[in-house]
Amino acid sequence: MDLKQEISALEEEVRGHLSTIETLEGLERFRVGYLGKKGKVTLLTKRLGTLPREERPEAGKEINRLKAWVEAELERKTHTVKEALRQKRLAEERVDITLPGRRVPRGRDHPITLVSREITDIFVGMGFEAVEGPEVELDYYNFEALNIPKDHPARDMQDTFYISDNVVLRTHTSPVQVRTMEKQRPPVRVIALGVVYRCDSDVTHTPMFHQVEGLLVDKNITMGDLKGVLTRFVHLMFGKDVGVRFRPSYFPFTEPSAEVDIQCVICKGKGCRVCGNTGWLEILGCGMVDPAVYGFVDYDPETVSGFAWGLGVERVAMLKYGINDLRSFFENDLRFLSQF
Amino acid sequence: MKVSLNWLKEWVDVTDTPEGIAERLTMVGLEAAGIEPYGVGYDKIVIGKILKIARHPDAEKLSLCEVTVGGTEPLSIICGAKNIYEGAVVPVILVGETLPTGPKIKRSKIRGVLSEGMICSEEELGLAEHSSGIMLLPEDLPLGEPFFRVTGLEDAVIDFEITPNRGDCLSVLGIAREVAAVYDLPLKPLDIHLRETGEGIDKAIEIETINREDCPRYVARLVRNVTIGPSPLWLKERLVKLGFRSINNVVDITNYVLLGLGQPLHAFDYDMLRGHKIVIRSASEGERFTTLDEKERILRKEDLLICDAEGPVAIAGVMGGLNSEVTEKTVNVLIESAYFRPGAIRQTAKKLGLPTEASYRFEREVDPEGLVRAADLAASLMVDLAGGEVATGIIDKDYREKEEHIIALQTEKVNATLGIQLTDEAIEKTLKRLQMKTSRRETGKLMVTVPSFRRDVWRPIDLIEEVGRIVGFDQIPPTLPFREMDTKPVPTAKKAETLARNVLVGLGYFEAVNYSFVDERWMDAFLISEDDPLRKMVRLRNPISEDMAVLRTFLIPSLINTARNNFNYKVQDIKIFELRNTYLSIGRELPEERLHLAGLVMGRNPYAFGFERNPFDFFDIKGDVENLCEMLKIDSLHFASPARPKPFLHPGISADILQGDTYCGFVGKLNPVVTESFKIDENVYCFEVDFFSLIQGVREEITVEEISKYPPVTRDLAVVVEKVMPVGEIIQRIYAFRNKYLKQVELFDIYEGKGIPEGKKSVAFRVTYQALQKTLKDKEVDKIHHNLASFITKTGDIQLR
Repeated sequence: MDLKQEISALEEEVRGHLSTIETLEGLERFRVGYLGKKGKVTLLTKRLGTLPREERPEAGKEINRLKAWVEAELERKTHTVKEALRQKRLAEERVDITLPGRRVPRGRDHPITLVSREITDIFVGMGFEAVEGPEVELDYYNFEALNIPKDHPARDMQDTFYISDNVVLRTHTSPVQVRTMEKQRPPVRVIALGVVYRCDSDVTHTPMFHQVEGLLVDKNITMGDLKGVLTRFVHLMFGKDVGVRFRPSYFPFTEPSAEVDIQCVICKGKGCRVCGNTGWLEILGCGMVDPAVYGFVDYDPETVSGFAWGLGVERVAMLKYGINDLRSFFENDLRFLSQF
Repeated sequence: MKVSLNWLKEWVDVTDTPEGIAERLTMVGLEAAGIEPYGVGYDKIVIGKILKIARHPDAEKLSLCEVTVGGTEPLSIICGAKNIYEGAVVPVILVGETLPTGPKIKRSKIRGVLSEGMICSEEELGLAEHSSGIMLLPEDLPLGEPFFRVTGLEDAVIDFEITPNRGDCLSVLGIAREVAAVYDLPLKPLDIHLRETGEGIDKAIEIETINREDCPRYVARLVRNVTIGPSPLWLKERLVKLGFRSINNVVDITNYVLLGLGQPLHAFDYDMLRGHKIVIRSASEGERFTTLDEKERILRKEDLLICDAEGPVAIAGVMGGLNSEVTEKTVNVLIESAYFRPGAIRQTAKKLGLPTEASYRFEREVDPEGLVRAADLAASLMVDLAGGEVATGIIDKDYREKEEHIIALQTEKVNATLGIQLTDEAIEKTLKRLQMKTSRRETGKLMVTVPSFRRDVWRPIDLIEEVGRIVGFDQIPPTLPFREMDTKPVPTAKKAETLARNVLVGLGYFEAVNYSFVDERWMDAFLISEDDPLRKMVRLRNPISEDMAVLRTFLIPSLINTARNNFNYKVQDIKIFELRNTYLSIGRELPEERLHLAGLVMGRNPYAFGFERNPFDFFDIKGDVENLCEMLKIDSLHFASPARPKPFLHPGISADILQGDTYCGFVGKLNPVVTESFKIDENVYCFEVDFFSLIQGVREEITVEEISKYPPVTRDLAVVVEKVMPVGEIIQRIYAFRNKYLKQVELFDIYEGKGIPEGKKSVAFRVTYQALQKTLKDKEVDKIHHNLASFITKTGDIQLR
């Protein structure tokens, strides 16, 4: 058999052999068998020297072509086999994705914290600065300087915890208004979030709860501004299609005073048990700062004006989360807390 | 303040529905709390006439009545009352209807005889608290027609919440004035026709005011020869609907005037006034007096008394006395209509714990110009309803010419405050609806005369509120006042609070919020000695209960209490924290309020698939504190053996938490004695820090260090030390070997036992070396590591293993 015939026979053999290989091991055996030191193609190369001189260039060319072709075929086949194996593995590998994920146990923020943060963020976003004041407060700041003298019937609006004749647990966050204005000249734009206390404990009252006070005093502030700021708050907190109404009311330290009702978030204003069939829910008290209060902090009511509000944090949380019992905020039942 | 719609309509011709009125008044500041219909929908309570009365065949006390209710066959109704007669017109409730007072009427047999309905009494119809017989009606009422409608008793009672500034609204008249203003309707005048007879009042009684400050004006009328008896139905009905009891005609009249005009009156039995004299004076300290509720009251010198020639007969503005009250035997009545100083009445009512309808109105100030009218109305009613004769004249002690109260109001100021554009005319019109008198002398300025009943209106701002309220807040366009932003950065402490919460929540802690008040006995349970500063608690004068009487000085007791409550609900694995104020009495007027952060763990990590559930121990909570401080960027955190062991912590398993040299708090295992006293049979670990002290160590700036591109090299270091030597000391010693290539020291083994001498332990570390600019060669590292070994063994207490 001459070399040419041998080469074409080998080509035939390689084609047949390669088509049967399905594993990487088989491919390796193939490589050794044809391209290895003692492989069939390598042996052909070694036989070149035995050929007559004039045939050598032609034969060499042929053998090199064969070698390149085998290598290319091997590579192509390797790729095919690998791809097939990869596909097979993908087809076989499987986890039960319904098994629980491996989790680090997490705690929760208290709902009061969550809601306080949300309220604070809204007002901070409107340029208000968060300030604080003491919880154990002088009667002067809690009442007197807010235009509520001793023997004023408005004191009945708030059942007060007394420490001594002159010291109380603050019944609202409003004393922070006075403390702020004492320290700072207008313009003033602050909110004060904190704990307040009332000597009252039943299904709808807890002796401790939270309020967010707001105060804005500047030149040319109107009741329209009060409405604008609080309406925007309601829309950011409860949604921009929630109706808001300002209803005249009375607080000794604001005049005019108003209570703000929002359209019932449960029944959307149609009337239900939560809103007592009125379609409205009271959420905060507000008003234009009474000139009498400016008298206590030496502001000139002829040149500045402003407004203030007080918002119950628990009230907002109850509406937001559908909580029925105010007391659940302070029971710290983990089955309750874990829902936030 | 409850108001009956029918009564209201005597003052103002309002045609709106009760719901409409409630809504409109709510929007001007009189919040309607509820509407109660009266007699509405009771179509089967009708007018009937008794045709025949026969005795019940089987019951002596019952009558068998034949009753017609119009066209159809007469009904047979059994009745037990004695005041019925043939021909009497009566209210009849038909079968199937429900009485306003509750029960539903069924066809029933009473002692074998069928009864087809019931003849009703006032009591059964909810018109009176008690009645002794059937309600007898005028004979001209149309038979078969609904009873409530044809008698005009169909009504609605609206309950308004009156804010403390609106004392003038504590009457039907007051509400009527608001209705008139809102609907822009005229208010009908009150006509009182009084015929005076007999000897003048000034001959019959002498009045002396000693304390004129608390009683600036005192009006009295005398009505002779009254006959005490029950009130007529209309009067009873009005009082009952508004929540008052009917007593007798004279007392009911005083209450009628109180409700109608808002002026509290007192009726004295004139003949019981010793010396026929009234003296208005302050009580002497400790003076005793029995009020008409038969309770003896001990008075203070601040209390104002109405006395006769010998002693007190009433506590002014609060309650009358037993000794001079109107009884069935009363013949002559002295009507008191006074103005008392609001603060004085409030003090007395509060100190005595005796709030009354009268004191409530005096506290909120009555109309000083309404005294005479109130006395006259009462007197005229006593003539009409009790057959009395009004003595000639009236006593008006300390009457002064009415002072006109005039306020100058600038239109510009109204608009600038409300953020609205109103004309002079619009403002004037609005104020007139509120019974204000106005005059305009110059453009943009209004002179307003305020009526005497509006005690709350005395400054321009008060008028501005009135204008805003009547025009309606909904007419004010919302605007935003953000002319320039001057936003300040969030303070470090606030940021730290938020971050601390986030980190702890991430570490598995639930945030608790407990009351600031605690049970003082918890301090005993925590084994805290009497002289411990933690005992310097702020005490409430009027706590809700004894176990909520002091403010907490630290948070752990509240947290263990929270843990216990959850434990009782079978929630046994607990990780909670609280970030709240504590209150320490420091001998000044106000206590020191300090923000504390406390955490508590007990049980094991909550169940999670694929996780080991080891019980919590000291190192879990210590690790949490370390993680927290790492996130807060407090590099100077360290733990030390407690300088003064806390009595409530395990002495061997607790540490002080320090930031630099500053003590911030503690971490450790709760003393089992403490946990046991909270009935918890588990190991409890906790920490508490003074948050402000801790965050003094916050490193605000972060400067990023360059990261090495060259490989790290590690070497192990095993040493043998005394068993008692803290590992922390060895680590400190290693770090004290200052070498720029030494990057990290990790503890990986502590071993005692075979191969290690008795009383010693082996501690092994992995030390990592790395250079920024080059690959460290083994030989180089070996040399540094060798130097490190000699450095730490220098003092002899640490040996290489």
